[in-house]
Amino acid sequence: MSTTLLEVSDITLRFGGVTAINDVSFSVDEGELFAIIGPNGAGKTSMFNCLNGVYRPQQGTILLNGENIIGYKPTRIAKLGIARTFQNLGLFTNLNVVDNLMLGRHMHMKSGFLSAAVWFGRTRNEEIAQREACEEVMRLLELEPYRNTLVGLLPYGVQKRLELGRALAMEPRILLLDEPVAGMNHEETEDMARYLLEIRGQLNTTMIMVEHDMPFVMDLADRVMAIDFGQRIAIGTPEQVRTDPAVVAAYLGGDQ
Amino acid sequence: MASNRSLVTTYADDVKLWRTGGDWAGLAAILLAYLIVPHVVTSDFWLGILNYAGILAIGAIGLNLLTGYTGQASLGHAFFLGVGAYTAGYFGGQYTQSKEFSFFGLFSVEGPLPMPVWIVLAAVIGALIGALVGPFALRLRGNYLAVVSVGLVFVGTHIFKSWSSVTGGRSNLQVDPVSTIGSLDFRDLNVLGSQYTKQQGMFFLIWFMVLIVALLSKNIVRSRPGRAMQAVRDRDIAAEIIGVDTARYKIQAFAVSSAIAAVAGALMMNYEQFASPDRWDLFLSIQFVAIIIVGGVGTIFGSIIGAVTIWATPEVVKWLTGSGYMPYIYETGGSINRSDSAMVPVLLGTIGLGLVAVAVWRWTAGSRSVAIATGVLGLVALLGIPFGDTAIIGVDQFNGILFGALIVLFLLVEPRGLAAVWIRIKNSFRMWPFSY
Repeated sequence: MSTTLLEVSDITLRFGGVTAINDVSFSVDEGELFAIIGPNGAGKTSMFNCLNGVYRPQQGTILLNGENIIGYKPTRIAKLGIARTFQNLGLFTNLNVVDNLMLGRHMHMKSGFLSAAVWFGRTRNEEIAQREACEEVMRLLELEPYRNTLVGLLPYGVQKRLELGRALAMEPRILLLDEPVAGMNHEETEDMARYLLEIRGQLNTTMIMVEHDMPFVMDLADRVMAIDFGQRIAIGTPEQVRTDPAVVAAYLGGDQ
Repeated sequence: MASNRSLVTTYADDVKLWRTGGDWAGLAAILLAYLIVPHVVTSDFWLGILNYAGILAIGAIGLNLLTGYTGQASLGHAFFLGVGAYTAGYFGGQYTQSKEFSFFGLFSVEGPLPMPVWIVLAAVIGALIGALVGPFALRLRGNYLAVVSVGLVFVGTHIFKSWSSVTGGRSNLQVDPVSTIGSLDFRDLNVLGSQYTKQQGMFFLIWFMVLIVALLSKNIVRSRPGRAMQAVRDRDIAAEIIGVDTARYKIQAFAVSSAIAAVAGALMMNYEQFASPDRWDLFLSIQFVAIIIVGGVGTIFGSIIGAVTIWATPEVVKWLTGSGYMPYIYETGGSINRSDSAMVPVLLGTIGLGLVAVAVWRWTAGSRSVAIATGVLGLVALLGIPFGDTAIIGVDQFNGILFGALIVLFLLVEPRGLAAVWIRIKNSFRMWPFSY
């Protein structure tokens, strides 16, 4: 029996009079691939922003391994092991691929300004050691051909992959994927599915994914939660959620 | 690909600053130039330009770390040069009576303090004040931060005017900071039996500091803190989410930038041996912004070539005007006197024909608008030959226009500055004879 890693209870997030998330609860087990689906504006990305500390929900608790992380700053949550990719890419476009991955390793490094200025000793050793760790990520995601390319010049699909790589470089316990295959063609989507399965197989990373591509979600996810207008309307296996009348109504319209 | 001449086989190789033979040749050329220039360029005038440009280069590296790498616009840079200058003047200045410095009552030293000490003190005090001011910048960014940082200059000028026991106040400060390391006196340098002038000695001192500051800064920007700074600049939310504490890096970048500015200020005090509170004004700050725009935002090397360009260009124009080579321009306070010079028509003719040639070339290449613009300029220069000795503008006004024109030109044509132009030239040589 797997253990619960993340437990979200009764989260409510309001912006003024607008309730973006209304009393949503769910839990994610260690090693699970959990998907959140829902129509546009349902509150999926807001949920991610609560999980990694960008927004602070007014009510509820988020327990990561038993520790309530509500109110923690994003950097602290990152150190506790939650990594994330963005819907519209959050890469540093003026840096090359290696530097972006090295930034993923930031928390695992120590050099400050003084030791960096001196370079020899700690900083140099650290750079070499961490460079090796980045290489492993590049190998896993087949990013080697782009090593020294400026990220802004890379095709969209590769940028998406690199962002996944940067999150992986953090060695997270939970990976939040915000629409990992949005805007990708069929082939790129299949590649991404393969990479996610490979990550699961090799690293057993817990993943929470927001995605609109239903076949992708239904094929990959262990469990799916559907939300609409900030409320949880269904949770369960992909099969259960797909046939849930509330979910069908949310997507296709009609009364419940 | 460029890599065929610089195959990397280990990670240790990959993190090297000087990797290829070309890189090492570049380093050798720089070191050789450092040793040779003061022997070849012996005139105080040209060495003076290079020395002042060197001081500006150090300050510009500091600003580039803050603005270019961390994305924090600042017009308060001049204040930190002032801080460094008065630190150098206070601790390193030579006084008629001996002065005693007590450090928190722990120990006391008789002043003036030696040069390495006052340079480090300037950096430390600059960093401390930078770290104190930095947090105020956290809530602001972009233009708002730039405007607020202007306030720093005005507050600074006021403090410098009022705190007369340290700064000399309105009666200015005239000191002669110790500029010796061991037996090397850079004002009166005598090495291996050769005697050097003050300007030559200062060249060795100032450009040594330029190279050191450039190297340390390059090390910062190519490792963890530098990457974090650039992450803050490019996307601050994404930086937070991967564990980069953006507030901390903004403040630290502010402190490091201020420390470097203070070192530049200390060297300026040592070089000019004089400081007035109005010296550290908004224009000096703007000059640094111009330097990094022209040189290249987000490059260390660009800060140096930008400083030389921005400082030397008006000086060269002044020199040309004084020598009677500049058409239409008269020396401020002087009269136009170039009856003996055939240089003006030659210069105008060369520029005019050159521009017309460029116009023809661009026309055939298909870019009509550029061709027309340069063609008109060329014709104006050619038609102006008979009137070349008619003075219409003073050299200072002309330099003011030139300063603005340089900034506008670079922002429009090459926003990445001279550094980007240099990299393009270098790459085209590296790829030779294949263009891609």
